[in-house]
Parts: sequence; C-alpha cells; structure tokens
Amino acid sequence: MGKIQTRDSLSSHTALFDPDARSSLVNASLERVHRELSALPEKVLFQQLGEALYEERRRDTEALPQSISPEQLGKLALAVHAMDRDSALHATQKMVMADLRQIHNEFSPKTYRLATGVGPGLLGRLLRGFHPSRLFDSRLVASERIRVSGEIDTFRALIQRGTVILAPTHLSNLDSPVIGFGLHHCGLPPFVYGAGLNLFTQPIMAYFMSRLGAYTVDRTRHSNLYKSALKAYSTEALASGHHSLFFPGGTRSRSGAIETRVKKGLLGTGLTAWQAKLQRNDPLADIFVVPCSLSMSLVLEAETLISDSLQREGRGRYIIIDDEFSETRTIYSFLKRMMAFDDPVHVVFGQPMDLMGNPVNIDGISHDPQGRPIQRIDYVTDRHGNVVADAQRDRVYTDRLGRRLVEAWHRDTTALPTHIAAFAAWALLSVQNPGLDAYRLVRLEPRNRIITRAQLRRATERTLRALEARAAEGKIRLGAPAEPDAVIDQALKQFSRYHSAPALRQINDEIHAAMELALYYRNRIAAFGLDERHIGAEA
Amino acid sequence: MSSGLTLDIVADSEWAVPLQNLVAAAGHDVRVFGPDDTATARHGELLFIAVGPKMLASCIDGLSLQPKDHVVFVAPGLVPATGETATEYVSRRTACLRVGVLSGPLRSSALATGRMGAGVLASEFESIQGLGAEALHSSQFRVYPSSDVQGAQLAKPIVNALAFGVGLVDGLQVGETLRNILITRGVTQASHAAPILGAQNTTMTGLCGLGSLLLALDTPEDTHYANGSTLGRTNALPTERSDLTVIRELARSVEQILDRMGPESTRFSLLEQLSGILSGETRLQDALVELMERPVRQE
Repeated sequence: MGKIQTRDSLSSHTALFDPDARSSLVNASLERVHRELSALPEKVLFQQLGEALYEERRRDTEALPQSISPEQLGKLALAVHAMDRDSALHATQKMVMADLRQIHNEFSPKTYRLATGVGPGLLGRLLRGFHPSRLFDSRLVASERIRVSGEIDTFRALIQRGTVILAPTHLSNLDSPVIGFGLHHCGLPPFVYGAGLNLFTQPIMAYFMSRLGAYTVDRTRHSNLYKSALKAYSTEALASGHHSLFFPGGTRSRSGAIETRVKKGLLGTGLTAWQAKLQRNDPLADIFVVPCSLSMSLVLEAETLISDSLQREGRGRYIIIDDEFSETRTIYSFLKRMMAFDDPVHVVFGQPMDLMGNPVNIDGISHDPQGRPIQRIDYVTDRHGNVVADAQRDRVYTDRLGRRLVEAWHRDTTALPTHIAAFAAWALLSVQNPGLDAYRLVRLEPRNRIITRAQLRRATERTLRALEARAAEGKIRLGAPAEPDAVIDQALKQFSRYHSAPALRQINDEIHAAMELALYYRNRIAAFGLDERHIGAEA
Repeated sequence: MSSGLTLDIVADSEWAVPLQNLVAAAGHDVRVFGPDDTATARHGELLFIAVGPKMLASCIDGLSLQPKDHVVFVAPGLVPATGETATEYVSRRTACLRVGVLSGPLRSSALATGRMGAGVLASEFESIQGLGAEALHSSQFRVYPSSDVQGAQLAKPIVNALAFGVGLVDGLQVGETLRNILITRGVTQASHAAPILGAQNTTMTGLCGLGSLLLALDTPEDTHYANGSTLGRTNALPTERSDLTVIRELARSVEQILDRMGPESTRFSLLEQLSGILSGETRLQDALVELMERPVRQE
C-alpha cells in the first residue's frame, strides 16, 4: 500500500488543477449524452427533443434563462416535424452543448489560492474589527468556527487512492463554503459541486463560486435532455478524477430534520463513472463515498425553510430564490453574529463507503458487515471479470448507498444546545396542548406558548439523559454541556444572536417560544426515538 | 440437455428432489449439496438455498456469500432467533446483495412428483428475476417475477397462521360462514398490513398470500391447518411433540410479525387473536368473542 502523504500535500490532488482534464470535460460529456441518445428508440428521441423544445418555449414566455436563443428555438420548432433521426440527434446535440456550456465553469487555481490563502485571514481581520477583544487573536476564523472531526485520515488516504464523492446533509446555502473551509482545513483538495443557478445572481458570489469548483445547476429545468446533460457532466467529472460534492438530499432540509431520503440521480453517476474507469483500466478507478454531517446551532434561512415546510398546499417549494440568502447584507450580518459567538459549526466526515454502501478502510478495501475484506468489483462484473452494464442493478445499489448515507448522517449528527432546548420546549408545549398536531401547535396564541424556566430545565434534563443514552450506543453525537441550565443558557444566547423572533427567549422566569422556529430546531433531533410525551410530561 | 447455466442447490431433504426436478424440467444441470455441506458447496451462476428456518442462519453463515453470488431462497421462513427474513439476515451478515426469493403456493411433495405449479420469484434485481425464471420456468412450472422481496417472505408465516385459524374454525364446526369470513378478512387485513411491513398489498392478495392459503386449505396434511383443526375439535393442543414444536415456532413467527408492525398491529386483529391462541394466552372462545364484539369501524 502506498504511503499516505503529509497533510499539506493533498490540496492539489484533484483533476481540477489539470487543464487538460478540465478542458475535455464538456466534450466528453457531450459524447456521453450523444451515445445515450443514439441508443434511444426514435420515438423516445423525438419525445425528448419535443419535451426540451416545449420547456424552452415555456421559459421564453416566463422570461427564464434559456439554452438557445428565441430565434433558434423558433427555427427548431418549425423544423422538428420534418426531421429525420439524424437531424433530431443533431438538434438535441446542439441543445445539450448549450446546456453543458451553462453547467460548466472554469476553475481558477489563482482564485483558489487567493480564497484559501488570504480569504480566511482577511475575513478574520474584518471580523476582529468588530470585536476589539479579539484584535490580537492570531487564529484563523475558519479553524475557530468550523470544527472538523471524524474519519479524516481515511478520507485523506482515499483521496490518493481514487476519486471521492462527498455526501453531506444540507441545511443552508452556507454549507458549501463551510465544507470548503473544512476540506481546506484538513489539507484536502477542492471539490466540484453543483450550485443552484439562483446562487449565481450575486456578482461577488458568482465570481468566486464559478472559479472555485462550482458548476451551475438550474433546478427549474426538468427536461430529460437537461437531466442527461447534468448527469453526463457529473459522470465525466468523476471519471476524470474530479472529487465531487453532492447533496444527496437534493435541497436544503425544509423542516430542519436530517434527511431520510436521497435523490439518486447525481449519486448514481458514481457507479457509471466507476464502471467507465474500470473498463479503461484506470489505475485509480475506485470511487469512494464519504458521508458528511453538518450541525449548526443557528441556520440563516431557518424561518423561510420551516415556513415553507409547513405550507400545506403544494407541500412547499423545491427551489426558494427569495430567502434570507438572497440578501448579501443578511448573509454578512448572520456571519458576523455567528463568528462573534463561541459555538462552532460541526463538520463530521463519516465512515467512507464504496458505491454499494459497504464500509471502506484506510487502504481502500471494502468490508462486509463482519469486517471481512470483499472484492467490490464483483458487484459489476460477470464470471469472466468483464464489467457488465446494468442500469436497473445500479439503481438498486444506489438505493442501498442512499440508505447507508442516511444512517451515517444520523449517527454523525451533533445534538447542540439549540436543538436540545427547542426539543424540550416543544415537548412541554405539545403535552400541554394534547391533540394538537404540529400545524396547530405553531398557531398557538402567544399566551399559550409560555413555559417556566423550571419546567424547561426539567424537560431539558430528560432530553439530555435520553440523548446521552443514544450517544453511548453510537447513534448520535452530543455537543452540549451535561448541565441542563448550561444547555438552556447557551441555547438562549444563540437564539438571541440572529432571528428577529428567537425560537426561545427568557422574560423573567418565563420562556417564550416562537413556535415555527422552535419546531425547526427541535426537528434536528426528532428522529432519534426520544419519547416526547415523557420528556414533556410534568408531574 | 444443458443451457449452459451453472446452477447449484443447497437444500434439505424436503426440497432437494423437487428443485432438482424443476431445473431439470427447465433443461439445466445442477449440483446439489446438503445443508451441512456448505463449506464445499459451489455457488455457480445461481445458487438456490432451500432449508428450513432452523437451518437458515447457519446455512447462510456457512456459505460465506460474496458480492459475486446470485442467490435465491426457496420458501424461506423467518430466522427463529431474530425474526429476520432470509434476505435481511444475508444483508446484515454478508456483502452479498443480489438475492431473491421463490415463494407462493409451493408444495414440495407435489413438485417432487412432477405436478404442475407456479411460484413468485421476488428480487429487487431484474437480473435475479431473469436468472430465476431461466432456471425454473418450464411447461411444469411457471415463474411470476416480482420486486416485493419482503412480501414474498412475510406472507409465509401470515398464511400459516391463517391456515391454523381456518383449521380452528373447521374443528369447531361453526359453519361455512365464519370460515369464509376468516379467509376473506384474513387476506384483506394482510393486504392492509403489507405496507406497514414494507411489503406490497398485492403480494398478500396474490399467489404468495391468497394462493398459498387456498393451497394449504386444500391440503389435508397441511400441518398448521391440521393443528388448528385439532385444537378446535378437542379444545386441546396436539399431543405429538413435533406438532407442539410447529405450534411454538408458528407462535414465535406470528409474534415477530406483530412486533414489526409495532402500534399498527391492532390493524391486524385476526393475527393478534391467533397469536394469543397460539401462545396459550387467549382462550379460543374469548378470541372469537373479542373478534366479533370489537367496535364496528371501517377496516
């Protein structure tokens, strides 16, 4: 087995720094889509072309960004009825090429060095300007505020043995930069990741994101052609050695809860890329998956997200473009307040897995549930060792990988004081108002949203003890003091930092709850089988 | 005649011959190993495992299944100690993923004598469904592919319990009406319970559920039906040691099914009452009264 390199030497261990790999990405993706489209029955090919044209027309009328110009669209729409198969293929190719150009962004090593070199220090100095007591604090803001733990050594080893998919939970639009800092802090290279088109609307954000490995994902586009282009891009990125970050949950958790389901589209590109690498005997063919759990005391967009979660009609919006993150000033204000407080964001890199969800050790070897080494290549080869394509088989594997990721996210979640106090308060109010579901509880009159500090202390104590038991079983991590009063004090301080109406605030000896926010933070630990009736029951 | 498929069977005495007959009828050669030969057993392109619940765990452990293996369990029960299905046990203990289950109205004695039959081959993997069909499908035996692996396995203990219940009613000689109500409501409740158990409701109303139950009721020697009938007729459990063992095993697997349903188990009131009778906690007459007098509601 190769020797693992030292911490700082891995930062360029990615195809992002290889100009040839970057420049060939769009063309390789185009070729991949072309192969897929060429294999389609003619009827399906025309259906996909028609669907894409219809979507373009709809976007034209709704003034949304388009792949092709209105003039080209008009010409294509007129010509489609008289097209033969080759012409249809040519037309789809043109549209896919336009999509790929929008998806692809040019990574800039210079910008990366700037961002990782002076960025954290600059931010630190700026923030110390607001906090004179920290003027001479030499520690970087990122390392103070982002606590990285977990399987870091294995992660670092696997970066050198193949390509890594990082699969985090998704709470906030700040997740990507937080993870970026976390990776850099561990001496790991930058990852490519899909960022929503809406995030590119702010010029400064767009400048940095497009040069730091983000590719553009337009989630308002649903045509099969666009999805094929996106998947092909992701596949080729992985196949050419670009470590990739996916949010398998698809979008930010609306309810605040840890994701229990994953979207398999992009996640499944790992298997396709792995098989492509195996077929061409790539010496670094392996693709590994590293789950990542993010735990934050406060979430910038919490109010919008929980409100969206509670909307009964339409069950919320998949894409939110007008949340707290759409205001630069709001982000800055949030960051400033977060940085001013001593509670870090917890980033846990979990047990790495192969693409079927089996655990992988530091030597890159997969293991069965009893810890015995296995030959993972056998999952995709026939008796003669030939790689056999089987899309249905791969969907089942990806399903399993998704379930393993969900388990890892839960196991590696850190319960923080804001979650614990919110859970305890919600349990008390839930028991005090029997028969009311969450939708009714959030509409409680203000006078009915009050509990005493003593009640909250007892309920917090019960929550803490239950969490300690689960933490001892390895089901969750506990990131809170053992004393309930300390938990409550920390939670109240945190809640007062940002939200206009804090989830919990103390007035004299009373705790007043803002129900929607309390629900949001409570939901983070709701999936751990805590007995809410017991916790909220007062003798 | 050989189609080139390399098939292997690990089977107990009940299933070795019938399975051999089936694959022979489909035109394949096969190697057969006993449940104690797992160390030497080969895994071929497709491995059939057909052993009783007691041997299931040790057989799987002994085979040391690997990622390359393709496995089909034949009419497996639940692993007695844990209540896991065969595929759950495989998933917890091995890295073998490509597994399937042959289930449905399978009567080993009938298949051994060349009678025609049909079964459901359930697997998440279409490749396993295809291999299983290729291995078994013939003019003697029809294969129905399905993706409901859980349903195909959990139907068996449910059907066994319902067969026991119908035997009870027949033994009591309380008439055809109650018998038919029990069959109909039993299958209906099983189909309602299916999604709670991670299964598909159509599996319970199809070959694995209703099909298997009807076969059990048409087979006088069906152990579970016979045990129920004895209890109904004599108001006493069978005296044969082997019958008592079967009843105890059935009681345990029914309890394990109800445990899986958690608080939702009340939706399977028939199984709850049968569980009480099987474990000796509920008297027969009390169970009938409870079932008849429970509050009227849409079920």
